[in-house]
Amino acid sequence: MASIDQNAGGRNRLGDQPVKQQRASSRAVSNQAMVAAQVDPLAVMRIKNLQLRAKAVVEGFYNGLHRSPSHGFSVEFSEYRPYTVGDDLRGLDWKLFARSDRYYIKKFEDETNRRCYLVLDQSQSMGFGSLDYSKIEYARTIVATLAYYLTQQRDSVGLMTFDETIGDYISARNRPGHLRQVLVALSREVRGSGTDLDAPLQQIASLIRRRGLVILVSDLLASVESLQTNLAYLRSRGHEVMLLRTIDPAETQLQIQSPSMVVDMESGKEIYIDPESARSDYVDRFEEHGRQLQAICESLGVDFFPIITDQPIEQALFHLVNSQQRRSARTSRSGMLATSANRSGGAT
Amino acid sequence: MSLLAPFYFAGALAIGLPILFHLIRRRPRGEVHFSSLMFLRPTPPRLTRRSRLDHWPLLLIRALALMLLAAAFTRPFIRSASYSDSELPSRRMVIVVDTSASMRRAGLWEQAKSKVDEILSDLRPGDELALVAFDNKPTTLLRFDQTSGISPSQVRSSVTSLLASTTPSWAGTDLGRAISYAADLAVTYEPENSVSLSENPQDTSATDVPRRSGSPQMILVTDMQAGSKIESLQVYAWPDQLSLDVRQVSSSQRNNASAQVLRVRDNEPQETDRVRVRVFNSGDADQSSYRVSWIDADGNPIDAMGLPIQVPPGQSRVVQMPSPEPGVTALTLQGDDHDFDNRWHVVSPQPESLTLLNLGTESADSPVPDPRSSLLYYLQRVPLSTNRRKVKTQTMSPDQLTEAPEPKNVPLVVVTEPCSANTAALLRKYVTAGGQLLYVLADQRTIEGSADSLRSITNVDGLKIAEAAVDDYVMLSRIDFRHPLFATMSDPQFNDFTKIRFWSHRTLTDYPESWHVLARFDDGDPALVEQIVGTGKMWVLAAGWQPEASQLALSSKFIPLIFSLFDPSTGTQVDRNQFSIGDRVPWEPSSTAQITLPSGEEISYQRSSDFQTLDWPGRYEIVDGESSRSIVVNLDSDESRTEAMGADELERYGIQLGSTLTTVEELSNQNRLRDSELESKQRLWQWLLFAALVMLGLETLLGGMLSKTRSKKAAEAISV
Repeated sequence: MASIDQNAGGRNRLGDQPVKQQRASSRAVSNQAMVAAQVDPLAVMRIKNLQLRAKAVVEGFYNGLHRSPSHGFSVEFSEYRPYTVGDDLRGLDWKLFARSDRYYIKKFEDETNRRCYLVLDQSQSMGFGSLDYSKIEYARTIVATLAYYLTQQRDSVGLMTFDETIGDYISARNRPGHLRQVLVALSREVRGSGTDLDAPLQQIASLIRRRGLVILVSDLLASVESLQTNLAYLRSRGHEVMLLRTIDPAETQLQIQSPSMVVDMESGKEIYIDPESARSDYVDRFEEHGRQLQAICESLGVDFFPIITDQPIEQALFHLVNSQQRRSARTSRSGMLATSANRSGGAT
Repeated sequence: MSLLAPFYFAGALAIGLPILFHLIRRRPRGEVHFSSLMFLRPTPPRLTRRSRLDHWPLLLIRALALMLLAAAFTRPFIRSASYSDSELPSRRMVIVVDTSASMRRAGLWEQAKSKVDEILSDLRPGDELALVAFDNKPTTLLRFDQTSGISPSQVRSSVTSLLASTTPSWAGTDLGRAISYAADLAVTYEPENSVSLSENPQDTSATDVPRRSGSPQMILVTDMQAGSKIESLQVYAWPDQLSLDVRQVSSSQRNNASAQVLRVRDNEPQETDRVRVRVFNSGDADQSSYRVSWIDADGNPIDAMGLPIQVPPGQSRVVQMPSPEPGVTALTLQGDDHDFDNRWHVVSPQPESLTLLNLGTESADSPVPDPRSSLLYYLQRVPLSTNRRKVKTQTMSPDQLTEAPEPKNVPLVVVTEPCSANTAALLRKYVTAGGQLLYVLADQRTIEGSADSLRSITNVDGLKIAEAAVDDYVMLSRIDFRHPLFATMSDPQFNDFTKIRFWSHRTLTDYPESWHVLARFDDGDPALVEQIVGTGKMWVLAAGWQPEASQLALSSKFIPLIFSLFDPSTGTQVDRNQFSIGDRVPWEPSSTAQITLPSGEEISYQRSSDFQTLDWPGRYEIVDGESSRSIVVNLDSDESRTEAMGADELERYGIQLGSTLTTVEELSNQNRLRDSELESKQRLWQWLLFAALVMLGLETLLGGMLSKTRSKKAAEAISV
């Protein structure tokens, strides 16, 4: 199926706006939609069943799409657009109709059959949390949500969990029962110790033969040098990589009230900290670390999204979709050029 | 309770440390688990307003342990009583005070008296004191027995009045002799066996206690100038129990220089218009420019400008100055801080009058037909007179000699003719008294007579003299150039005697082996032999020197040979008019002798005891009837070396240096010794140390228990 965006010759059904302007406006709309579609993460996290939690987030995400003032939210923004008269009924997503009672046309169907590998950090540092839930619980929810969403998109989803060694590994599949298998693995109680990003990322590179999307959910509280090396290797193997850095609000501002003996959750080492005198230095170093991670990811073409655990979980979905959109824009550009080239060549 | 080392209590201040550490609260109550410490740096602990003491019991135990430890180091003990000065042993002290010329420098004598007074102020009943003053010889001013039995205040007043009447002399410093003299004085005195404790010796009610004497001490009050003579200490064995306390006096003004007119040597070419002057600058001087000039009897400089001279510190320079004009009495130096040694007195040198006595047939009464054939002719032409002596040649017949010549005035007698037994006896007496006799066997016709004379003079009965058979001529060979007579001619350019031929000579045989053959003829016969008789010498020359006998008188060797015979000392003759402080008067007392001192005072010199030594610098006039003599006396040049030498110079000679303790210091020492003894018996520190160790053990236990509790809580928190 040809890309509708491409056949429209750079114009779409939103009107005669140029594609770039439409994309910009759709991005702005998408942001508004994101704001409007917020589901209180506390409320979500109270759902004990992981699958139900994931489902709630995904549906909330879809509802957010629905509540967008712009009907036909974005042709480029998502792979769904509302059905209009004259659309090819073969592109109609009947499952979505069954769920939402609305007609949507699914595009780039061939692009949705991707392999996604969800890599979850389960080290001790992920066990930290200043809210009612820890980072690991939030991250598991994100991973479950992404798995649920991608499965619905008919993408193959795989899972790898790690701390200082590989925990669970489920290869990417899209068959009945696979999502359940993933969710069961996610629900397992684990006792992580230290964090080692080297080993799991190297193993992913060796285990994943065919190209796909690797989504790493971690707090990335480790050396940036090793991360750079491993990400570069993954990219060199042709994988798309997305990093979702899961951070607790207390970690961004060192929310310790009084001088205390602070214990490292991974090493057990303890030091005396007076937050009044240590805070500014901590914030500087923490933000510097974040900037370094950002810079590395930009240089490697890796999408990097920090996610604070008090923010709605569907952010992750928005980030995923944004990422896919940018990717598809690059592809469509290259495809458009190829098509024009072919036409020119064919015409002659 | 008393403490042997109370300053160790400062260690108790260390209690502040555990209090501080407990306040700082290195370990807050709560623990917070955080995801990672990779962005965190430990906060240094500090005191805040909210700080409060933690773990009271542990703090108390630590503080107690520190205090007990500090207390143990202070070595506490329980004292019963203190020493009083009556329990101190009595002291035997010899005070040796320098009264040499260098102590005339400004302020030094006052300093010395003040230092002696310091010592006297600490005298206590029973102390024995002697006072010795010294310059080039030591003099006891106060003996031990003179101070024994009198009160300290009386001793003090005696010494003070003695020193008030004493002033530094002009003599040099024989420090070694003074020290050994005073040391012997200190260790050889035998004191009384008991001493009164009262200040008032008349107080009969005072208790007499047995004398307890401490080690003898010598206290030396001196300027320790480098010119002090200490070499005699090398052969002195220092007494073991004696110590020397050096109380040095010094002047704030360090520049001192002196000038000295150097003597002219006999063998130097005589320069009548210039003299050599040596200027010495002391080693601690900080200037080097001085001026020397001649002055008259009134002290006025002849030349207003004088001669400027640069002398680096510690060195001397010799310069030439115009000879002193008539009327000049001294050379003076200007520019230094001390003038005690700035004047060098001079007097025009008066030559000695000496006689060469010739006993032969050539006399005024019986002249020979051809003088040139006589021995005397050539002898008279030897220029024996110099700028230091006038030599006249006196000739007489041997039998005209009525008394033995005085060797001092007649250094040489030449006998060329046989003499009688009386004359021979007189000649032997002359030689035995230190005279020098040359017997010349000049004429073969007088062989027999000469042999008799020689046997009488030498007391060698077997001596034989015969005429030698000379075939043409003989020469001198096998000359002993090591002997002083020929030493001046030993140089290769002078030692060729082959040009001197002897046409005839006598042969000496059967002479004793003790006779030293100084030269032989080439036929093997002795030419010149020497014999030591008493303190004098006698030579026998086996040939004459007149032309008929030999070429000796006409050779270049004759004059130096006669010079050597006349003055066998070869070299410098002492200036008989220059003397140093302390020398004896160079004149025999007589009923008419008068000596005018530099001060102008005239004294009669009839006995040796009237005037023994020259004790003041300056010009002396000695008049005895028609004879008169002017002499000058100057300071010992070593007295100008005023830079101080260290007391360690004395230690190199085995002297034991030590300081004299005051009564207060001695009491303190004795009390300290007693306290130390008490403390070592009581050993309270051991109990304190034991208690401190117990506290440390408790602290370790308690600290360990608390630490375990904390670790357990931390582990539980992490596992949650």
